[in-house]
Amino acid sequence: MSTAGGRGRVTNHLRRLREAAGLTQAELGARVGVTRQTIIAVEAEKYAPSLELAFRLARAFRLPFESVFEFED
Amino acid sequence: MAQPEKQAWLFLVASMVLWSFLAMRMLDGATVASVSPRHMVWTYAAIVLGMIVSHSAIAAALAAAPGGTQIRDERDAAIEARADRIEGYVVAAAINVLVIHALADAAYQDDALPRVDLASVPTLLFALLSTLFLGHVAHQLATIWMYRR
Repeated sequence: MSTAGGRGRVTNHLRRLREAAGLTQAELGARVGVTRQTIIAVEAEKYAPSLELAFRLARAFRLPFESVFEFED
Repeated sequence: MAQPEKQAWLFLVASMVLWSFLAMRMLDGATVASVSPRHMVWTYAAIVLGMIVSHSAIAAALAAAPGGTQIRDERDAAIEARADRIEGYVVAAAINVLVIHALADAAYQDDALPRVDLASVPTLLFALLSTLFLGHVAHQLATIWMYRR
């Protein structure tokens, strides 16, 4: 999952957090208003979520944004 | 498989069937046949109607199927936008190939090049409709690829 400039990489801890919360991909998707396929793609880092979705995901776990997403240079 | 991916597969099949119908109506072997204006009008009308009916029927059937009311989210919209862009590139490239081919044909009249006489209405109709089909096929293939990768 690259940034628009092609440098750096956004990674996430979504799978670990979701499993720790005992949620299925479909349940998490329903909480944040996206499909199960989108959660699968975000977890696999094949789709970079919009900023809005990224914040909604962090809020679903009641965690700060940077605890869910990281930017690697 | 996501609903939009299923839809892309079905649109792809429908497009291939309709392009085959166009080829059957307009081609005589590997060359465009000299057909009457009436024949062209009916072919064009049948293809437009075929596209509308097939695509509406596919969309309605998928909406009625289990999971058909699944929400379309931002990833679906991003994939759709990217597929639209790819379709635009493919159509632009195909038109440029046609123009360059026609110019090269006019300039050199090289027998090695297959004749594409764009001054002929049947050839123009076939070339333009095929270009639109090519763009549509590229759109569906890009959609499928982006959902599967």
